[in-house]
Amino acid sequence: MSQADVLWRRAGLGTALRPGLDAAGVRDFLVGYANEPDPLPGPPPLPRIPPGVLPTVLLLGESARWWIGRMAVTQRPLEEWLTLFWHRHFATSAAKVFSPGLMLAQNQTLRTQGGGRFGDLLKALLRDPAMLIWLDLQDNRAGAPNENFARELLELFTVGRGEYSEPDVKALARVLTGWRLSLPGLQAQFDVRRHDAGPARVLELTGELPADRVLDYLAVHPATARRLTGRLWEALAGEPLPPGSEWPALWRRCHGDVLTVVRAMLGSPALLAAPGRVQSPLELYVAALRTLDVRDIGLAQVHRLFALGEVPFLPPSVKGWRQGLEWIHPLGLLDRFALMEDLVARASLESFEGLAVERRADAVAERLRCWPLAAATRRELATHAGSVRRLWTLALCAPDLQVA
Amino acid sequence: MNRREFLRNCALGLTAAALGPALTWEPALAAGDTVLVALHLVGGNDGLNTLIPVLDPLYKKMRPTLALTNVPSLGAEWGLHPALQQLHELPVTWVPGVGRPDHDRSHFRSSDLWQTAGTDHRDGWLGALARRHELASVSVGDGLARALFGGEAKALAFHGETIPELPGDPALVGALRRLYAGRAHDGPVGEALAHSCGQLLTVVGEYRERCAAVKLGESFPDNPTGKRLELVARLLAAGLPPRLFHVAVGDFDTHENQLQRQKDAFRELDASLGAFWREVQRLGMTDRVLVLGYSEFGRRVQENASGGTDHGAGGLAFLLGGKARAGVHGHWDLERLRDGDLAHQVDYRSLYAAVLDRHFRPGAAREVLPGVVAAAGLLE
Repeated sequence: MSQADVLWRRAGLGTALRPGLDAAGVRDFLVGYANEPDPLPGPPPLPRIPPGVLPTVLLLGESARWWIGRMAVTQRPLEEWLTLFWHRHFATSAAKVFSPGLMLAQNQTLRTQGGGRFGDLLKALLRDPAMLIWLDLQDNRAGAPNENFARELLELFTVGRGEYSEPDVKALARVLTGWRLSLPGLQAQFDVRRHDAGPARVLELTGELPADRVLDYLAVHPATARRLTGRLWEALAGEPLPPGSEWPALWRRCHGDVLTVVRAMLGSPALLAAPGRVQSPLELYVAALRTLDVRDIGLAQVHRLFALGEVPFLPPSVKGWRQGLEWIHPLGLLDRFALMEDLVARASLESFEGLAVERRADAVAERLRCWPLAAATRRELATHAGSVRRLWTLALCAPDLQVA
Repeated sequence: MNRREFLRNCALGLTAAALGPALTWEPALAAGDTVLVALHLVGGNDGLNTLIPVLDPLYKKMRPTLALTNVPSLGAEWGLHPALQQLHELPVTWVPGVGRPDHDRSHFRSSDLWQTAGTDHRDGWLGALARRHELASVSVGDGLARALFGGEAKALAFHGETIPELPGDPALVGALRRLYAGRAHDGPVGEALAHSCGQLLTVVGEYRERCAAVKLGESFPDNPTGKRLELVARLLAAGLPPRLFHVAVGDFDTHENQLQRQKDAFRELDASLGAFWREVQRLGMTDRVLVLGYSEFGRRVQENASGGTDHGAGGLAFLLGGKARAGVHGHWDLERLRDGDLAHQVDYRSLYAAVLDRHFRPGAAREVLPGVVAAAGLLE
């Protein structure tokens, strides 16, 4: 299997968009997504104010459908890969935000800012209405602080446990006061009357601290550098950051520029040698959609993803979804098989129906070109080529596709 | 797939290479094992019109059209909703005034917090127990309930009322069986894949087979609640291993037309739970099976303009079976409402702690819910 294929699987949403490229070419193509045209429509203009329970639930389903549909057809796969990475990192749930418009607005922020400097992303999220609701930032004001956002910012979004203390949380909460939601459009607005402008001390930073300054500081803090590069590496390679790795230093040198770090990771031999991560249900599904060139996402399949525990916009908690081996359990496999069966039943496979039986297995393997299929898998595919639907279902359910 | 193909699949499973222990999630249900059936009344059941404070003048005053009168009596101070006729005859433990300190009126959030015991961890409170003690669990309703997260190694979820089906193509199933078995020595991930698939293909098949073979004594109502509880009854009657069940029933979200809607929902629940309990009695398991009924919140005391009530806070839980002590334990405090809602006197986590310690094993509460004091007097 070629090195280029490893990159397509781990950072390219599972299909080789440019089969002729070598590893360096794939890396450049993936990271250079801003140079690719983006003909896809932006998020649909769904209401920001929830129109009642049932309509909102339906619209959230539509929002998930829109995003998955985008992942299925995008020619800029790393952009969506990063959007999903950040969605998992900042795990904001529609269960509380309950606004399709705001969830999509956050999604777009993650997309447009997700490859730039991490500090800029943090600053954008401080002003993101969905985030303001999710972590009670709009309830945080001078004299009546709400520490939820400050705490998760330190514990989950930046430096991590063990790197800060309670006084830091309290001080940070004060620094972040003043943001609220304004009607009618549910926009974020800074209200200086609600802001606690007194001096504060957050970790090593003291003085009169504007919020943005603290966020920039946290974004390149050494502990953040270790944690965030660790999470990026885990997402790409399926293993923890190797000790002595150079990524945290690189993060700090480039001021937390995400694409710079990702580009370096994609070019590293260590990535090619790493075991790879277990595909989450959504990742498997997206890879299957792209492989079969399916553009139309059924709402029933969004429901299946919900049953599988990984539908966009509904993380189980602010800590995000499961990872790695936690996804592998009997029920999870059953649901994956059902999802793939469904998908294959709806896909149009005439080009395969038209092939002679003895050529079909090779044609399937060709479509799955960036996935290493074991000899045993190829034998089973060859045996079951009589029915195209069975053949494709088997290929997409095979253990070979469960690890990127 | 038809029965013959199905049995052939099972035979394939039994002759294929053994994939490690616990193919049917041994140990099977042993003689002393207790079983919990957590019954989620989905939507926020109105506890105040379920267990009625017949002597409280505020009740009728605050609910001019919704207050229920001439209701079957549960002692001097209490009445029960008329549609709960069978439950009226059973030794139920009623716990009014159950709720959460961190109040949330959203169905999803509140439900999540009830199911994770407010920890907002990924694991549910029952899943955490399942994981620690390697218990098998079953979720009946919409996929795996959050309450059971953490116990996935031995969990089956039924979407609706039927045991999940394997892919309907025996050749596909056979090929997958072989491919996954072949990964057993490919490092930790391969082993996990092999193990999970092997368990899946054998357990699902076995569960379907044994549930179908069971002859129940009762006939269950032909509605979703009836079918879901019938499924639980079949699993118990078949002696299969699961000790933890989470069953989601009904729609109790009575924003409008509550008198009719709650009555209909209760008729369905009552008939189903009545049949279920008679089956449990027939199996001689009433001391081992505990039903815990709960809802994600109660409803507001005042009626709204549509003949219904909106999301509230303090609500009603109930227990049936095991060591539960029948009767009403608690009260509604209509004088001291909190922002128009019933406050709670019993923190729902203390209810869980009592169930964990008394119905499973002493000390279980400390493992799963450290720092929570078990509610006293609800279970022997």
